[in-house]
Amino acid sequence: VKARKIGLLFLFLAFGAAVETAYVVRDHFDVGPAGCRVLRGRFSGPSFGFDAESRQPLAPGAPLQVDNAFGAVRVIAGAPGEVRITLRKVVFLPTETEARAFAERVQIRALPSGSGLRVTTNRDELDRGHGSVGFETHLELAVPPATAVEVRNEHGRVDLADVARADVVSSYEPVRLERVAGPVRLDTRHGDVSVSGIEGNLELKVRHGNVEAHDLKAPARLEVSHGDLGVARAGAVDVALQYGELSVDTVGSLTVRAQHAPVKAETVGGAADVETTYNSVRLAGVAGDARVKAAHAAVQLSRVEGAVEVETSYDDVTLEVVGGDAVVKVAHGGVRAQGLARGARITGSGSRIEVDGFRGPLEIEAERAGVHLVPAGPLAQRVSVKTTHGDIRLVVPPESRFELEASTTRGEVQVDVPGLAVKQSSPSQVTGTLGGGGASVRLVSEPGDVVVESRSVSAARER
Amino acid sequence: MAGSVKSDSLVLGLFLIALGVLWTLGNLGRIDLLAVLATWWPLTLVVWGLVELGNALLARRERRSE
Repeated sequence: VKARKIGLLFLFLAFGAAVETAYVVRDHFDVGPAGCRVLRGRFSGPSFGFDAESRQPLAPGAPLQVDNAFGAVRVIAGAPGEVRITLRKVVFLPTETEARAFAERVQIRALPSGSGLRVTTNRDELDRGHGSVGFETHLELAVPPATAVEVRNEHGRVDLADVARADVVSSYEPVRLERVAGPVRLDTRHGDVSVSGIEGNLELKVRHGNVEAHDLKAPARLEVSHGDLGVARAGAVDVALQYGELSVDTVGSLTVRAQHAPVKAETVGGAADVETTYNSVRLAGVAGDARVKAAHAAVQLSRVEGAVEVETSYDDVTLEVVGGDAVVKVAHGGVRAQGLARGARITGSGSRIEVDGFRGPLEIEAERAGVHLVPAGPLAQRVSVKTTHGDIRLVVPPESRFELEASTTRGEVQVDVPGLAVKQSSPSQVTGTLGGGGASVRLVSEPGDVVVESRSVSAARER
Repeated sequence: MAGSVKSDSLVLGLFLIALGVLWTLGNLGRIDLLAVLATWWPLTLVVWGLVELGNALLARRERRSE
């Protein structure tokens, strides 16, 4: 046989293989939200649905366990004393006759398990014998009141409502839990989650899915990765979050340990303790103390009744209306504070520090940053500002009382405060007493200008 | 062998003609080209085999007549 003929034979075979592959693939090629999929498998093509029903006795308070795969599980409140099980079988076969014959072999299995009941199907047996046939098993269970439910499901959504407690492990479809009278434990992946009306403790672990949790009466521990988390109307909330956004509205207290996640919380009834990286933190309306530790992230806190402790880098910190002590450390970022009731201790570098409308003692250390201070009322508390490579400006309200010491290593000190009894004055240093003296006001720039002026002078100059 | 048909050339020629006709019919909307090709392409091997067989018989007859 000539080599030419062998080559031609291979050419024909390659042509046939290509044509047949293209023919098989063409109806199973799907580009959509889930990405590009080729050969969708046994769960594609014509399908036919068939129903089966079973009723099983279940003693009051006895637990119910549901095991399923490739189909939804729905648990709702039913009549006392029995579980009504409805199985919807969806079979993927070309004709209804074939599908009906196969569906007749798909059965509900209800077996005693401890003091309760275990409900499943004979999927495992069928998969062993007919692995190539795709079929879905959707279970709906009407359970007696006060039933504790445990669900294990894969590739199917889970809906639970009006049960005593819930323990759910699922994957690849959404989960929805509503009105659970006791504790809830949920572990799921690749599916969105919605929980609401949970009376007991909530322990939730979700990977690759968004989570909405509302109306949680007891403490909640929420662990989410690669998904957004929204929490509203909850008690104590403890969050571990990676690669998602956190949005919180009206909770008792808040603890967050996050990475690569922006955090936004409003109306926290107790303390807020937040750590995150690479995304901003915004807290508004915190009744207790607020502690925020971030990296490469902006921090905005407003209406905090307790103390504030903030540490971040490479972005700015903004504080508005803080009732307690404020401690702020920023590396390579600025600080803008307004309405500090009990003073602050601020360490910053690289950008401007502005404190407007503050009361209480103030201590600022800054590098490569200017400092601008405007007290809310008469200045009578200790103020200490030390900056390198930045100017300092202090506006003095009427009726202030303090001992002034302003100096610079290279720059100019300008003091324009009517009533200040100057003790020593030179271009680089001014000391004096205002209103009979009192707390120490020490302003040191190394180097940079230092300006101390009364409010009226400042207002006139700004005009 | 002077009178024998060059089987691979003949098969390739027939195949190209058949493919062109089918493609045209597909473009005209008369057939589902991919479905027809996927179903009937093995016939090219059958046709080729028949041509080879015919060539072998022809060569044998020529040898006997000589």
